[in-house]
Amino acid sequence: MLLNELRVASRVGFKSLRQRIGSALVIVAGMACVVGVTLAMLSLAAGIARAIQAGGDASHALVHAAESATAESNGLSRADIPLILNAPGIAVAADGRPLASAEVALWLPPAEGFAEGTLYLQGIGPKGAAVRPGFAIVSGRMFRTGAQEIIVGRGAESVFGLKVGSTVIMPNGEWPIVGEFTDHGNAVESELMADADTVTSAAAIPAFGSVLVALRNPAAFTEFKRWLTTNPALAVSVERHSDYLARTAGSVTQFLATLAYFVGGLMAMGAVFGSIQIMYSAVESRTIEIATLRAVGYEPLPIAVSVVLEAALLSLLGALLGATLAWLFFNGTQSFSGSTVFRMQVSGRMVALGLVWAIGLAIVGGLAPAIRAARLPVAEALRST
Amino acid sequence: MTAIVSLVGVTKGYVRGNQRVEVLRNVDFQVQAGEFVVLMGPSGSGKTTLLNLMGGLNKADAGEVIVDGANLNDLSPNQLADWRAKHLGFVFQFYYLLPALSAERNVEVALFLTRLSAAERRRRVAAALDLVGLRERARHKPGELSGGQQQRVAIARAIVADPTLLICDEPTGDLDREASASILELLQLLNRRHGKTIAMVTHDPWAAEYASRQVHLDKGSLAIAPGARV
Repeated sequence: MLLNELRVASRVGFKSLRQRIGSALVIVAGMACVVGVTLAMLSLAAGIARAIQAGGDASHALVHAAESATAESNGLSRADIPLILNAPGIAVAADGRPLASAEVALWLPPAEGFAEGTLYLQGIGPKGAAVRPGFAIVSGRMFRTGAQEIIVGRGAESVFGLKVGSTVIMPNGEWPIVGEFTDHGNAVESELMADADTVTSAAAIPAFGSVLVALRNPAAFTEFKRWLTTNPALAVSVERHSDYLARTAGSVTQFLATLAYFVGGLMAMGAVFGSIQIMYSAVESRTIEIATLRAVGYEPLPIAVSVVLEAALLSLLGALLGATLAWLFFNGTQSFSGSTVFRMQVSGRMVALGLVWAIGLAIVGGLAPAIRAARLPVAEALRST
Repeated sequence: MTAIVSLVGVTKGYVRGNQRVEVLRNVDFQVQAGEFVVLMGPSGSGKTTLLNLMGGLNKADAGEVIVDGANLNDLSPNQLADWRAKHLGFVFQFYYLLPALSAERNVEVALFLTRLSAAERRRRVAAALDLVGLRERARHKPGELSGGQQQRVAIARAIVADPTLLICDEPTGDLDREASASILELLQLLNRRHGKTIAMVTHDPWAAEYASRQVHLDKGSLAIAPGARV
């Protein structure tokens, strides 16, 4: 019977929405903004995380200086490199050499015409391409070892306009871009690449940042790591490449996600206060309807629940609208943060989160007006007309 | 005769501003089964307050309100709602139909509080609308009906669940004389032919003539006419 009462009270409320279309649309639009903006910001975090993490797998390892948390601090001395390449478990290339690449990181000023968005150049070793399974030149050619030439990732090419034939200002002059590469759409495509030895001498960098290693198999990692970290001649840190990328991506995405939830939370507070006011006025304008139902014999609880349901339905509509707009405008849209070029990603999980959040906010926003509806003094309400 | 409504020593007041206004003072009053009682009196005499107490929409400050065996002062808001659904039918001056629903849906609203099947609900709604002469307007919304027709729908809603007592608060107050006459004749029919007990408030002596008994209220007390039975 309570369900019957709820059904009727809700139907009466929903049918009278036409008379309250303006205020109903305010709730829909408010929630669309909250969910749309939050999903847009979360799509940044998800896109960056996907781009960064897509490049790693468990059969690759990254070695960097023990005192540095990342591969970008160039803390490995030249003397360390042969020792690292001598470690057990490294896959062997067709030429019999270890499938590993000693690499150096170099930050460059923003591309011409860009106020922000630093360029990241990765100096790679002779096996730098081979150690990256998804790497492929898609236009132009590979840089030549020992030559002051650069290849550009597809992401950096499209965002920063660095095309084959253009030049990049390096510490010792302009280097031409001779090729464009892809790597399964991951963050490596945000980078420029050049010969590591040529980069270290041009930029006067005395050391390398990391060694990227292809292991014989994922299980070889344990022995590889043990050998390197117990070698008294080395002070290095060893991580699976996938773990390293997850760790470094985590700090970026966590910051963005926190920012998204913070901004979304602030907007949500506004939306909740708006919803409370609107639902109060909805209850006010439905006073006679509610009082009539109560006089006929409807209990306070279904009346209250119908008010919350109305708020939830309107919020859900708004959330769906916001999620749809976020998906249409942001899903797959290319963007960049620092040097990382990525595609924003609005996932189904995010949309579900937005919908659940909207319903939660609706319950919070609808609760006080619902209680007022339930406590409406029937006789006074019917007399007030 | 059996008393359907029995008010014993009922007092009811309201606080307006910082002043308490006593609307009913120590009222004793009964309505017998099958009666059509009209409550009359000037504005502020307490007629509607008395009606609301009988309908369980308000609670007395003192005294007992017993309707069909239930002491309404002892019931919780949920119990009162349940009790109203089973025992009362309300007819208001301004009809208070739900504007978004058709006439038949408005009538059916009262039956959703019962355990009747959908088919039985439809049958009863049709019978109630038939009784008030509006079966052919069943699909019309309140806005498409005249005032008199809306009040007939409200009466159909009030009687469809076969309540013990019909409570009518100025049911003709918003209608012209012709529409009022047809509503009052309908109430009379419900009382005489269908045995419905009716308590009605009106300020119109002409409307009061349709009732089987008139009770006058003045300044919160019953003004007993010579030979009158309260």
